[in-house]
Amino acid sequence: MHAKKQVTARDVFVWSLMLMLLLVSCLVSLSIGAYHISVKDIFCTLFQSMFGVKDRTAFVTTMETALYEIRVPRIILAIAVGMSLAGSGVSLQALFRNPLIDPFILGVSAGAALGAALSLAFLPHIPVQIVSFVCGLSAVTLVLFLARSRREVPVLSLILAGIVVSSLFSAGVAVIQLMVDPYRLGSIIFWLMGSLTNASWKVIVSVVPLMVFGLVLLHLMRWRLNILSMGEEEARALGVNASSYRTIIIVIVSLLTALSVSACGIIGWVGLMVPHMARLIVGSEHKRLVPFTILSGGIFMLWVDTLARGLTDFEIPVGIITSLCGAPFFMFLLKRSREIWES
Amino acid sequence: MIKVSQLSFYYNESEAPSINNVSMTITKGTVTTILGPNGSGKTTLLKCLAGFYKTQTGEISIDGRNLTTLSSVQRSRLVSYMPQNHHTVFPYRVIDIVLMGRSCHLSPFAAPRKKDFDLALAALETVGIGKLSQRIYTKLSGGEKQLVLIARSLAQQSPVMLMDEPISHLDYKNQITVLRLIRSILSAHELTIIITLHDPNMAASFSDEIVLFKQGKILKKGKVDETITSELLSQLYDIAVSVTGEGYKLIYCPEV
Repeated sequence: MHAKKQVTARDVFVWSLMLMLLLVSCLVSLSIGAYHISVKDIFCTLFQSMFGVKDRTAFVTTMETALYEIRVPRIILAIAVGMSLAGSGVSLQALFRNPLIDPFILGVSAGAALGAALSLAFLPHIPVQIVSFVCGLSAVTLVLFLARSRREVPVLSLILAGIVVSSLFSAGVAVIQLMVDPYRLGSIIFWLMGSLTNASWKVIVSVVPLMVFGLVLLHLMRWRLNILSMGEEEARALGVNASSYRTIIIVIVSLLTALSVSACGIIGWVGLMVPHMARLIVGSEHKRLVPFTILSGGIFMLWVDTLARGLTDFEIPVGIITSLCGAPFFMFLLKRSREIWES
Repeated sequence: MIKVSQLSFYYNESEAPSINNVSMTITKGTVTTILGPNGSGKTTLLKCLAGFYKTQTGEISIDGRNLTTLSSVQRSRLVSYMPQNHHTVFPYRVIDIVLMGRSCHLSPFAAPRKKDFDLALAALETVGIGKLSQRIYTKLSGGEKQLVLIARSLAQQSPVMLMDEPISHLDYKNQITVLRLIRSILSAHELTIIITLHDPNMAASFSDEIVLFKQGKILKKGKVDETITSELLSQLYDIAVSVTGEGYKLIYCPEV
């Protein structure tokens, strides 16, 4: 009897390809923007500042500012947000045994948005992340409370409850928009559409470490997601305390989503699309799927943000681009889901 | 040895209890079959034995360890449970399903190692489907799925196996295959197996002991000769049932 190797040549190939793709994407993203920086200039600048070359030209100093103060933070934030949203999506899908779930559908995003709007409009002293996390967590708790009947969480009621709670919280955001002064209104609206323009080292320091923390936890629990996706009873029969894992995962997902929303507004659909594409490449087994989805999420978000900056002279909010590709993708899935998931 | 004493369980206080003051002892190394009509509480009893429900009164102990005081990890090292109507949402490979049986032997953040893979593959070989290990579970036939679930229970390495209607969706040949397999792993792995079945013929031909279960109570528990009788079966199913034959029993309903 020959045990099949756990890591195959194909895995190594796919992973190196993805890491290369990430590097190339970073380079492309560094060069595209309000003004074009050639790859040669990027390397030149990186080289000079890395080795502390004295007497740098004015050109290089300008480059340094553009790269280090604007583009690098933005790239880091895009990758971190993409990873968080995709990681949240794949975990929720396993947890609720439903490939059509993401933080957006579950109401976490709407809750986090209300929290962030509250904080922007009225609570300048409390950090956006905290208010956003609390509201996101209460939204998902409310959704689960509404959807739950007899120890089960039926998928249909889950989605319905998600819609109801999302619209309630969105209405809350609308009320806030009515109440604030026009100056703040503009920033709230732009932020609601989802955009990474606010990226700065300050924002990164306040959200990225916690995102990494949450993603590492999800990554560590990834194999258990297989078991959780078999349903609560079966998980318990296999020795996994499903309800405590569920609580932990929901808290982590709320944290990740709230951090993303507080940093760059509502960016929908990433958590739905990326896990699906990842499944097509590495299969459904979560030990492989979770890290792959997280990495793909980062790359995906980086590309979407690069498009948002590069497509036109003005900046398109990222949320609009993800919705433009996400909604048709969801329609397609909904139509095909019977064949895929009930075969 | 499994000892159940004065076990009662109800889902709602307003409803009649699903399990009503049940006591029984099950000997190590035997196959015990629970027979009973739909809604008699067979599955509920099995789930209580698996520790899914907090029972209102009574106690279940396995080799002297009280099941209710154990954590789910400790419990699943003692008891494995095979659900009926198994449905998975995600198209996992067969080996991934079997590996899930190893979770009670792994720490919370750990993933299966080489040793677990080997055990899972060995379990698949035992049930005779080693070659299916890389196939997609959701695309297998009903019989193959049952074999995979049995392999998962084997990989779990718990001395007590509970199976809820393991043959209810299978054709005649697959029913026999699965029951034979259950008998063969019983002797090879020193297990104690409790299963629920619908067909009294199948139960009579392969069980060591039979529990006739009706309305949450044990009507009769004993060897095949003591339980598979025309009177008791007629009483159990509320229809006229005839039993003929010595040693090998043939059970049929004369009025159809």
